[in-house]
Amino acid sequence: MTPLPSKTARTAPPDADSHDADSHDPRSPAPDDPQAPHAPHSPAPDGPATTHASHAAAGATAATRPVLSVRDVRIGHPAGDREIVHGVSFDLTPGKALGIVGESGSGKTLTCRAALGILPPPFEVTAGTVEIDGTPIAELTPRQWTELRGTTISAVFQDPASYLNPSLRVGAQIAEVLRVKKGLTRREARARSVELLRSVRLRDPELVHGQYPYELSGGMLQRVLIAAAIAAGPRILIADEATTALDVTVQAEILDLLEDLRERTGLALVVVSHDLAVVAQLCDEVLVMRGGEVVEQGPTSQVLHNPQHPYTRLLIAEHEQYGLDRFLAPEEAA
Amino acid sequence: MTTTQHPHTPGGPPTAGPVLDITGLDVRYGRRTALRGVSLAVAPGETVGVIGETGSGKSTLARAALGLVSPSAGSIVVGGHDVTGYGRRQWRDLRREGVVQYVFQDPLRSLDPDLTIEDSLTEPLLVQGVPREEAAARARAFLSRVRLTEDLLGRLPGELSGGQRQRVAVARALVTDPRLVILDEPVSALDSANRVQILEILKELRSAGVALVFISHDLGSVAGVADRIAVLYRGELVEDGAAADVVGRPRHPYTRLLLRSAPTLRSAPADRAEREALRALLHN
Repeated sequence: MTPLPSKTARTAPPDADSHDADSHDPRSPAPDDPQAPHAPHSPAPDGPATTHASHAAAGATAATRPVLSVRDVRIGHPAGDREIVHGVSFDLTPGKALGIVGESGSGKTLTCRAALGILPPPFEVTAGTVEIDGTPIAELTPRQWTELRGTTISAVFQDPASYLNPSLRVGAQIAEVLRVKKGLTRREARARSVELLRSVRLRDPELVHGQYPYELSGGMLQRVLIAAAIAAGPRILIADEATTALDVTVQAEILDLLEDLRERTGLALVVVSHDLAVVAQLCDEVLVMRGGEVVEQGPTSQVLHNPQHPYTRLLIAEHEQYGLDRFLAPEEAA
Repeated sequence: MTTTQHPHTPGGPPTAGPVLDITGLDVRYGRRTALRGVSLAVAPGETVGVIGETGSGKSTLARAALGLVSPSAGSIVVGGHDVTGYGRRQWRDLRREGVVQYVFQDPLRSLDPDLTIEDSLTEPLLVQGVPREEAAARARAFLSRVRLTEDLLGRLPGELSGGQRQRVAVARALVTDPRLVILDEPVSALDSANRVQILEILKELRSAGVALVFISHDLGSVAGVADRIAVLYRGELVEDGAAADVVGRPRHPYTRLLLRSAPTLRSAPADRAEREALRALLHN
């Protein structure tokens, strides 16, 4: 078994990062922030896996090794020994995006929560394994979990307002992540959080930094949440229905932003949606879930153009019948 | 253009003109202008989709057509009645007449939680003086038109699923044989199976000759149902045309952005660059 990252290995990077933040070019967006070189033996390098040349030198194995590996995960409800999720498996490598599609109750959110170690009780993982960056999460102590969240795996959800403190300015809430997770000083954290707000393409990051959540629209709030989620340079971002409540043009802006982060920083994405088209737009691989079962799984183009399961075909048919797809010329649908 | 002042005559014959005729409508909330110079006419039996996102003024438009906000300028003619200067009592009489009906996003808003489904459906008819038996028969007929079974008649709205409730709300809007139904985000709160079902029902209504104004933020839902599509952006109507033209040959940059933003199963990386360009254009 891969050894657990030691506490010292976890706490070392913040110092390096705080120096790094000083020398950090303020114009470059935060996720591009070059991290201190990985210790060659480190089983779980901190910070974003970037596609920069310096990292490519680390060898192809680092880029192709899954940052998130889910093996036949089953989730149960102890009452009556009910199994809710009947075995989900996937591998996610840096810079890739995986989509999970399903209606409410399909088990897609429970699967994500299991990967994040935040399954609501009494649900529990009854079988299978989740490895984050090579570390089986079943072996993690609560303290190790706390260290992992934000720095290695992070998430944004549907209702951004409920994840922000309404009585604190949003900038302060991002700065807090930076101070706790990266050990930055107040001043460094402030500068960096403005940079993060700029990197999620908020038009006036300085202004937004000093605003309260109620002063921002849903799309702006979701950007703030994304900025907070990527503040500590995670390698995996789970976006669970993160654009569902937003207007379509705002949704597209957020999806473009995620795509952009993925390209620039090698962030690995798990995109969860009830809408196959949202997932198709962003992801390399798609899982279709229904009733706790993965009914279809494969490369996006294959799932879209050669769906095997009737439910997948139904999802596609709904789009073709009622979505904008029916107005698109067939040759465009290649 | 229907600017003729119609004296309100309950039960009077409907005119042959548009069932909804909005001309040069301005609505202001204090110093903020919610709608500016909006004109929109809906012919009998026509289904018009009004697309707008948050802050576009689409809710204000619905509220104006409902008599819930007063225009600062322009006129609104509903079912041949110039309602621009209507007071509360005149609106009440007009609503009672049942010529125009409404369906909201949240059916719990239009259904009384303490009334059974049967009472909810018969109430608008009983108010008009329709005998109870006839009202009950009509309630049953419309329940089946929205594909619900009669065993739901004795239930309360709280005992139904969201999709069933919305179908009851649609049935309730139809029992008085309206000439116009305004639907404000009727499918937004529903999952895809229920959404498809409501859209199917709306398509059937179209062939039944009822004019529909389908207000939504979702071009995809509307495009499959509407004859015509109008696009509201920042309080102005920036596009109004046949559904196929608006979707196929959009003229305004915002309409193009909407189209390029709507998730489709066709993945085209070029769309992203186009979206960026359109955003830049719109924000200047």
